[in-house]
Amino acid sequence: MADDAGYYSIRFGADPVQLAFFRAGLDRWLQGLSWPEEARVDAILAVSEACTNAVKHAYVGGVPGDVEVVGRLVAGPSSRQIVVTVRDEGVWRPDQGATGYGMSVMNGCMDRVSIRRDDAGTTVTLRSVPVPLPHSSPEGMAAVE
Amino acid sequence: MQHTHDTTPVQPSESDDQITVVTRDAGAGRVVLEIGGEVDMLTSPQLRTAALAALADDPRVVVLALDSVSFLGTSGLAVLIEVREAAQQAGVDLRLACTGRRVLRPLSIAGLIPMFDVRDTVEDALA
Repeated sequence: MADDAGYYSIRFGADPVQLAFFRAGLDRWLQGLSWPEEARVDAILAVSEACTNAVKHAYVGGVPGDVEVVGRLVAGPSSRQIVVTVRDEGVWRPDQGATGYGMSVMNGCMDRVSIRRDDAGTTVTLRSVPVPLPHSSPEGMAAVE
Repeated sequence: MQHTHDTTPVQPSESDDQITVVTRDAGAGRVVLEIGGEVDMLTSPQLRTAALAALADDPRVVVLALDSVSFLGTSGLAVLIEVREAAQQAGVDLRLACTGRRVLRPLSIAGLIPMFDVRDTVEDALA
């Protein structure tokens, strides 16, 4: 079933100024899905960290590119998750992280995190912990424009 | 302390590239820094500058009041660790005052809670 509420997509320049705006948009999407507060805080922490890594490392010394984030709602019979991919077209090296807390935060806040690198860039895929279905029917989740 | 962020969506505004820092002299060598806003890659240097400046005044106790912080990323965690080390070297008692999940969650996940003296309220942190 295609409904706009279950899909989130944004592309922004790899500039630290963009991160707060990005988080606000992600927060609105999750609030629109009636995502529970604790899981929402975790998801924003984790996805923001992936985006921060992309902004910080992906385009070092090169031409600043974009960061592309796509979020999908995956609803099962008894629970739902979001799967978010954060993609950049640079050379993202987690070992450059000054603290190493980035991976800890991503893994600690999400159900599963994977990183795939290829010649075209890096894609981080984050799957949230399952949260309960909303009280209304799945169809009821679709926000009326 | 009733700073709830649960129901307030983060609204982008012109101030998004700034955090707020209010420094208050609590007397007897105690300084309180009230921090507000989103502490991320962009804004964490502001926190660093303000906290290190407070330490430079040779206080006895520095309290970072973090309940108005609506986001704390790992850039902010790195600054807190740096400030903690600077406080130890300067012989200053550093305390954090916060109860909000948006601050405690990243501290907890990174395993940093035991490294800090975390109190529920500023009053408690000043005691």
